Amino acid sequence: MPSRRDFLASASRAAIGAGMVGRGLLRPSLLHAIPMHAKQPLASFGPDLVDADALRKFATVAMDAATKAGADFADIRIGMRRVFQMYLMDAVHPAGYMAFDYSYGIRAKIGGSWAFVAGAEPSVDGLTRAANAAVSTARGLQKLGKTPLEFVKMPPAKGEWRAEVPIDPFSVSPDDHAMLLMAFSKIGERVMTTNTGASWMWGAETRVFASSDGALVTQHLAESQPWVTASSGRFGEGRVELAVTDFFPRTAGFEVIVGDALQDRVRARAEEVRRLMSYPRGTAEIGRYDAVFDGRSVAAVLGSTLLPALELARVLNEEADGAGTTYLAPASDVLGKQLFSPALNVTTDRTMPHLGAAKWDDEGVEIHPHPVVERGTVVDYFGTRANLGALSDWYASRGQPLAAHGTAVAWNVMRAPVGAPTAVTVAPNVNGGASVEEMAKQIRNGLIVRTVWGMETDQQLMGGLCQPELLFEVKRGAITRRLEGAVLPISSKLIWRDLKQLGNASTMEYAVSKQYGGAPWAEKQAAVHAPAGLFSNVDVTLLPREQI
Amino acid sequence: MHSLQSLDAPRTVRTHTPIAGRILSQDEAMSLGKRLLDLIATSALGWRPPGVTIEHTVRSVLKVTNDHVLSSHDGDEVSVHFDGQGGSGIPMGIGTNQLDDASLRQVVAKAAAMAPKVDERPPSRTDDPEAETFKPRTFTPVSLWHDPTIAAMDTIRGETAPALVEQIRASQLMGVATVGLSARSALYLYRGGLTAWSTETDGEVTVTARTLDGKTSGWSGQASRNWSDIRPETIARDAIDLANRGRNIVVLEPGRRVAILSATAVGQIVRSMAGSFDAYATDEYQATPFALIGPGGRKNKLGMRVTDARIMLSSDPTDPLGGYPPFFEAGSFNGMPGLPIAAATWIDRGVLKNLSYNMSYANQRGKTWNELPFSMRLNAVPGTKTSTVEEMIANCEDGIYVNRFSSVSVVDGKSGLMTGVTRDGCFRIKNGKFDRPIKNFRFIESPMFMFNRLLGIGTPSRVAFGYAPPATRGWTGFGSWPPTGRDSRWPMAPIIVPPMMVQDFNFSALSDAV
Repeated sequence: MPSRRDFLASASRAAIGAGMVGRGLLRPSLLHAIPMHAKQPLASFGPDLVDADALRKFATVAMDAATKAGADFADIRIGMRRVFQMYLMDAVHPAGYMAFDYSYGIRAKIGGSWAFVAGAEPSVDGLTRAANAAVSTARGLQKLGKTPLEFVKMPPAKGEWRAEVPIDPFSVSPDDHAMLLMAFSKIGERVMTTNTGASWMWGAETRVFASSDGALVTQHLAESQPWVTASSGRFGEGRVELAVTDFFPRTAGFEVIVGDALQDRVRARAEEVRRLMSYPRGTAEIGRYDAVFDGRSVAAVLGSTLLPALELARVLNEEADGAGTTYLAPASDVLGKQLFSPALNVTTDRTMPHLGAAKWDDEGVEIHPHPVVERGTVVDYFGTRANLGALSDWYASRGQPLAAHGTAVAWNVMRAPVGAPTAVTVAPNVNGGASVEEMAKQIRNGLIVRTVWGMETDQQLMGGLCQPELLFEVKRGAITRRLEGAVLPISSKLIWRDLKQLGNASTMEYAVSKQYGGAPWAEKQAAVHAPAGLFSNVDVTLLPREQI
Repeated sequence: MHSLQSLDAPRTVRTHTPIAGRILSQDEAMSLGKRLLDLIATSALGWRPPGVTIEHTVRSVLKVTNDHVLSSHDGDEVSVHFDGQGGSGIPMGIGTNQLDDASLRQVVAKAAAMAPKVDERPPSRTDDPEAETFKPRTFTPVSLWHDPTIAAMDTIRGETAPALVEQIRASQLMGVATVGLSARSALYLYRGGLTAWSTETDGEVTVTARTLDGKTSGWSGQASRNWSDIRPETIARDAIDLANRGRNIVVLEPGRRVAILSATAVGQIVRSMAGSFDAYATDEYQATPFALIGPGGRKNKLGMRVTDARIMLSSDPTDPLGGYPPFFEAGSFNGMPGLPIAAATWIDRGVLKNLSYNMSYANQRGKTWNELPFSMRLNAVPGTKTSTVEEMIANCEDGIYVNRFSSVSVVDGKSGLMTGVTRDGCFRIKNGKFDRPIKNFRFIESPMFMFNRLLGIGTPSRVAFGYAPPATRGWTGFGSWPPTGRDSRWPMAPIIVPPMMVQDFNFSALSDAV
């Protein structure tokens, strides 16, 4: 009896990828044997979408019920979502996962008390019951305390918006998805001693937001999370793995993973990995250095240190019993003060094509690019309409009306929205900024940091330990060795103060920051886009190397 | 497209009110599972014997502070999963959260359209060894369901929350309390007859108290599957006490020092050890502290002393202080969901006795497959003299008491080195007494070093984690939804550990974090 592996290996090449090649999306030379039969679009294999009218009707029913039950204010997010993931099982065989969900979350406020009820029973009865339950709970909790903060009033939004993507990934067949995935994984074989791996996830959702004050918006959201890496070496023996920077999370379609140019980029990354592996290896010396961080590393460190520190829930101690508080508190000691290098400008931007792109956030507030750090000065936090009232003095001092800026996000509708970064951009140096190599030339004795995947941080985000995938010694402007066994203890306060220079636009790279928050806590993610940066006073220490 | 009319009609096979916390019963789940299995069988979707997974979780989570409720969450999350096929052999998992008949029929029918035509399918798998795997199995009986926890879903807002608010308010500190309750049922059903069913409840209360100047913090928590075991007023009292005792901190030089670690702190470290027991990573990648290249093709330290001889580390689904469903769950690392897992002793009297083998590697090495130890109990070998934290302090000439860490991360899998920062209560111990509160430290330490420098060990208890990112991280964003299996559990899977007193714990640097 043939095994599954045998079956895959002996399957016909017939008709492989005809669609992909025909559309010029894949080189015929990258095709290889996988069984291909599912040529219809992915969408045809999933349940029918619920039309937006039905979602709007349910949302309206729930808001009517909440109002009738006595809510001062209520809102609802109801969505039907489809997700498709594909990856390589055993690093060889493609496997997929399709998920469909149809859920809602209702928030109701009476006096100073909020209650949130989430469910997956989309019927008039189910929605009415959930709305009544939320109001009833809020009423019961009202006696527990005073009104905390004024809910920030915003004009009720109305309308419909669609994330337009050139090639809907659900219009592509499972076979074409699998073939492209395998093609990327094969590119590495053409560059000696390297491997390439790929996986991706696509999401599409129709989400309706409605509130008891008359907001009603419908959004057709899209998400693309492709992931392609090039690696070389064995685990624990100087292995290097770098992401191919052209693949990053955003609001986009299948077009972002196809085309000859991308395949060339994957191959170029594999060749770069092989080249980097060839540097002599050595042990770092404990000390304090000037260092150039590549764009990905700047983005990852920012996403672990500065961005979560700007979440208003942390400032207000709402996360004290959870993820923690923040060193950027109290707000009155932070806002308007230049705490960081004047080179640093950070903007939250959930417009197309960034990750989580939408026209309105999950509290019905219109989204627009909004600065949180200007020339090293913190000018705003990530908040929600429920907690931004804490910043009323700051807004008044600037002569601005207190307003939300579209930073409330519910990664799924069954969680209440939280104020968090979703897509953030660090402005590159627009005054003729330098490349990584040019910045490295300014270093007499220092480091180049390549690819920080993530960083462990403490409860107040004061700092953490950063472990770069690659660390190079630089002497008189040139790389001399690849350093191993080193970690960089990073102080959140100091690293952004000691930023000397940011790179030009060509050095911009993405990193995804994953944080957790809320109750029950849930994952939050932010796509951070940042240029390379030259930092002074970067500490280097070594991990203890004792034998067990 | 669905029409509005059809959506207005009754759609669901279950009736529930989120507040009451009713979950799918065994009868309901079996009825649904069989119906789905019939649909799948008719469609001949699977590349292995058809199976379905049904999970239903109801949660009530309340967060209160001095003078108001920060959030109140009632969630009702259900998911159904089964295996399909894309093309002739691409395994394709399918998941949905809609249980009504029409929705399920449509999901299955559409997924079936993706599968190859009958004459293009791989030969029947009825005589495949895998088919044997999915025949009926027996499971260790467990008792994970406690009615008081369900009852508490209706009382935490009216009774527990006001008491906590009052206690925090009276302390004149800034406090936040989180009360979380969950009920869950899960069914794994295969056409071969394998049927795994579990119901469980769980609860956790944690309180953080901070002085108004933000310079000191205290934390306490309890977790139990049975709400009757949880004492919210004690938790709040302990957190407040720690915060008050933590005023006027002094700075102590970092370095290797005697550490008295609370059970919570030990639990945070032990929980992060789960991946170290992976046999494949150990043998093939030499990527865990249990790897060893030795004579005769030896690849690991099985049978060798790896910790102090007083230490036992085990996982047991029947553990009276926690326990877990006696089968692999969705998202399992080393086995197919629904297959039984037995109790395992990982370390016995300091000797490494077991590693966790995935199914194929277990077959290759002639071992029994087992799950990674996401739920663990660490205790002293019977007959060992144990000590309370108070006795450890009394026996400590100069050391540091650690109440808890920030989230603990593994920085080097090969040595097991972990890092984190002390949090919510860090005190110098001198001459057998609490001397004074001290500034927090970062630590870099391997549990394998720590467990070899044991000065004292206490009696184990289940620890609360409060906020704790998942031990394993999978797909993000949309892809993590609907939530399934082990990673979707909150409170976290039980970790049952004692407090410990260890020598030369590596407090590597000072931390400004409070």
